Amino acid sequence: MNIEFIYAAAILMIVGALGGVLQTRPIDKFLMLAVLGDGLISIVATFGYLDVAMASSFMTFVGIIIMMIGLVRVLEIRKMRGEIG
Amino acid sequence: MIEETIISCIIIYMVLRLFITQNRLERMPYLNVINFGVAAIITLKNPSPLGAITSMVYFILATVGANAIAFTISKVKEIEG
Repeated sequence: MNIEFIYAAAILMIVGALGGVLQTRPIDKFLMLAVLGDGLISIVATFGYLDVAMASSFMTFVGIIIMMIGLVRVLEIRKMRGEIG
Repeated sequence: MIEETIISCIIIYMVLRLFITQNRLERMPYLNVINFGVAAIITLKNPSPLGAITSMVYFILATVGANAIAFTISKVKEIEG
């Protein structure tokens, strides 16, 4: 029995999207977004578009970093106002 | 084609465990396993110099991104607790 990698990439994308919808904490959503980006990059590289895979790898990396910085800033401002902690 | 099947089974099992597990720190090794498998498959599917360069770029950026997620987990735990 032979399992093609395209099915694994599709399962990565489906589980990433379902987890991004169903999980509640923000960091869990970011982690599932990373899984979704992995599925996207692997399904693009499987069809042979290597430059597109390289560019989308860089873009998902930069997007995750910027959203992490925004999350930490929001939590710091909320703690400074006394809403949490 | 047996290597592709093995890596696909490992990736499917790891993404299901990552979806089920509730502890946040236990999820990071599963994400790293998925990154290693995808970086291996990119080189197996495209045996060319550009495939090697793409695999290297993806591997470095995914490792740095996973480190950023782990750092943010510890930062949020420090802020909230």
